[in-house]
Amino acid sequence: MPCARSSNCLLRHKKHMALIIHTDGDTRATTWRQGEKLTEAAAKAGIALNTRCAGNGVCGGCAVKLGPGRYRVNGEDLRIVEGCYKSALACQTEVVEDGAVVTFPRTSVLEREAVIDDAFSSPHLANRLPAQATTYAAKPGALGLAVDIGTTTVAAMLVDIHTGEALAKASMYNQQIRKADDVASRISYGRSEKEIEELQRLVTLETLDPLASRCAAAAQRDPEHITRVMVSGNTVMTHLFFGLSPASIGVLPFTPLMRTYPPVHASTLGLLASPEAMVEAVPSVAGYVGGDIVSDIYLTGLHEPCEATLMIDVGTNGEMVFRDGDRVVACATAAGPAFEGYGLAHGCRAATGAIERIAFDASLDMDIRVIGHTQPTGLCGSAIIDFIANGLRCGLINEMGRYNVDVLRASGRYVQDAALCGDSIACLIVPAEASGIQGPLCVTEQDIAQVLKAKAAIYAGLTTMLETQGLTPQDVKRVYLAGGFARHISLENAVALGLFPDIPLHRYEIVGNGSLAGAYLGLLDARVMPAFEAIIDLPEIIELNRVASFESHFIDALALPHFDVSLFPSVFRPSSQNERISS
Amino acid sequence: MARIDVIFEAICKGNRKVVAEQVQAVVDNDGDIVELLNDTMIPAMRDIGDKFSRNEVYVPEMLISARAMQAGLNIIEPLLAAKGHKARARVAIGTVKGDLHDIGKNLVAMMLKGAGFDVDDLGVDCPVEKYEEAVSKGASVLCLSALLTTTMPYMKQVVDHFKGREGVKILIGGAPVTKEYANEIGADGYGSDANDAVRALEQLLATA
Repeated sequence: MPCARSSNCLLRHKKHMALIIHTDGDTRATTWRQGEKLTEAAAKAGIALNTRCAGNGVCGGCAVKLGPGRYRVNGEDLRIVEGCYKSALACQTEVVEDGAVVTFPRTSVLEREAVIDDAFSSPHLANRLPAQATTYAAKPGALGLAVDIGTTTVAAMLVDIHTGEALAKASMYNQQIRKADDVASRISYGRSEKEIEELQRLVTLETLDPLASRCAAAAQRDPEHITRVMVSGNTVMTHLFFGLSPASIGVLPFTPLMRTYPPVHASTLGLLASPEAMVEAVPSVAGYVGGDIVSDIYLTGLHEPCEATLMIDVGTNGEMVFRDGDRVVACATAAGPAFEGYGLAHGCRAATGAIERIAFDASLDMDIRVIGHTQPTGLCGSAIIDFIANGLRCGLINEMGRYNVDVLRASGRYVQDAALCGDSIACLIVPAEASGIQGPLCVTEQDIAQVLKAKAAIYAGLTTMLETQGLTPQDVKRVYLAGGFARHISLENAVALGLFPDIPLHRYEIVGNGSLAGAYLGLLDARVMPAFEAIIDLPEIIELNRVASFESHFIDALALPHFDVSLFPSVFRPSSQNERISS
Repeated sequence: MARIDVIFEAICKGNRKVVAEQVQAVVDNDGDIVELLNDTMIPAMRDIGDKFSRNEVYVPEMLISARAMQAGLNIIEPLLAAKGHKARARVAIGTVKGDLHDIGKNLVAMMLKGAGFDVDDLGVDCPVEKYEEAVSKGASVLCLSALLTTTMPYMKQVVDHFKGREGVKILIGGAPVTKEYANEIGADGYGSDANDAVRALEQLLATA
């Protein structure tokens, strides 16, 4: 990148020494732009740093070592001479001059390979599978690729479409994350044809192809033998996969360009498969109720009459479908990414190093379980749920999500450290010496407030949707929980939090990645696509923000577990009232 | 009238039932509702707002308090209007065209009311015409809200529409909105959160 900011810039440019990044066992050179944060420059080099506080300079997840070069850190100029290093947060650092050398420690880099749960199950799965070999009359050895395109993660499964056997599975982060985090920001990013093409390239060539090649290698098959590809994802992801503009989904009335997607050849997308392979997608119901939900509906049997059955897919957007008899309604609610560990001081995704479960009683002796055999580096959604539910039970946390400071202090877990948690107070979970980051892991009151908003969005969404049917959460006879997140949570704790209705736990069933299941079933059986196409006209969409009572339901659901305690009869409720507000 | 502690604390704690009962009791006893508003209710919202700014309370608690405050205002607002009570200034607030999200907008509206402003809530999905109508009804400041990065650009259209208009100021806010964006599109002010919106509005009016 040519630049006039540095006297010897041309020389440096010739040497391709714009910005040098050392990582664990790798060195890369990349370009940088004035005013661009180091996290963004890293993303261009294909390195995703841990920005779980969304780049606000709070979590310390993107700590890096600045080597020789000129920088601006927190708005102040910094020059580091040869042989010296200084620690800084990448999200608060800008490069000022060519030739800077930065080292990213392993703990600050997000693993490219996401550990996401791609398992699925349903009592209906057996019924959904074709009785014998596939009705596509595929040749022996013919392969298919089932793909779940999530906003955050993409999961692929290589299938022998002659026998129906699942040969290999793999998953990784959707590489579009390099450009924008959530659905709305992807829509905003994809303003022009060029940017849509870039997003399409990132999900096809940079995400799906590596997955296909990994699956093929694991199964010792030739990816050229893939003759069918079936993708299932939310409406925005499906649009971007085919290079369609998602712009209209971003504004009222949120109408997508297409709801059904004409099949294309793999070669037109440049996918790793037989050039003639047909690529199809599960159709979408609406802008915010996509093919992933159509897959969930098909897997759980909600497309057939059933009694008071609710399906919830918890993600950044919580989508919900309810069916009672012939009436089917659906809605989407903006839960935000708190359950994915995002935006919390020490939150993280459910990957190696994540604390996934926490158990404790009034003694606050914490029993923690970490994914992988490693030191903990953060808390994922299931652990946050455990923490708040247990905290509520033992009086550490009150109904408004505030700590009992006396209990915190008595246990030695009281933390008030501006650098760690801003003005918020926090509960220490793992001390610095036992954590895998260069500091302690804690949960702040601000974090709990984020979770309250997320769980209230889900509970208020389902309450409002049921209300339009003249029903309450207590009337629900069966609940299916879809999405990888639900597979790892303690259902009891999720109910104690007020995330899900307090009904007998045996009415709940966890189906896992219904989106991948839908793609898998669609690959095997030619009758499935027509069934999908019938499903998209089934639900009536409830626009929650248009229902006057939604806001009040949301506010009622902000308390732990709920302002109306009678809705949560099984949940222990501390008698101590919230005294801190009025003091 | 001195501060009525039971109402003050019920607002702070978000107990809307107590707020409604106690405010009604003041009305029934021919109490001075202007003093009730100025000496008890507005200070309660200010207290909550200040605690929010100091991170002593968070959005969930603010929403609950705002709802309790509204329960009280529902009772006295028609009476105040009948008495010809003059509020500090008339402002209009609305979520911009294309966007349906209003919980944050409603909270800002509540904080503005809680600071003694006469607030004209335009609702959601507001086109330029709706803001224009509010101006014709006497609003001197227009507050624009958006939750989506996809609907935020409409703010610029509203700002451009009112550019150079005497006596109309525009204040913007919402999750994706930044101070830089406010400067870029030429908005007159920016509120980073519900309490900051009150500060920004007061600052705008002081310099107007």
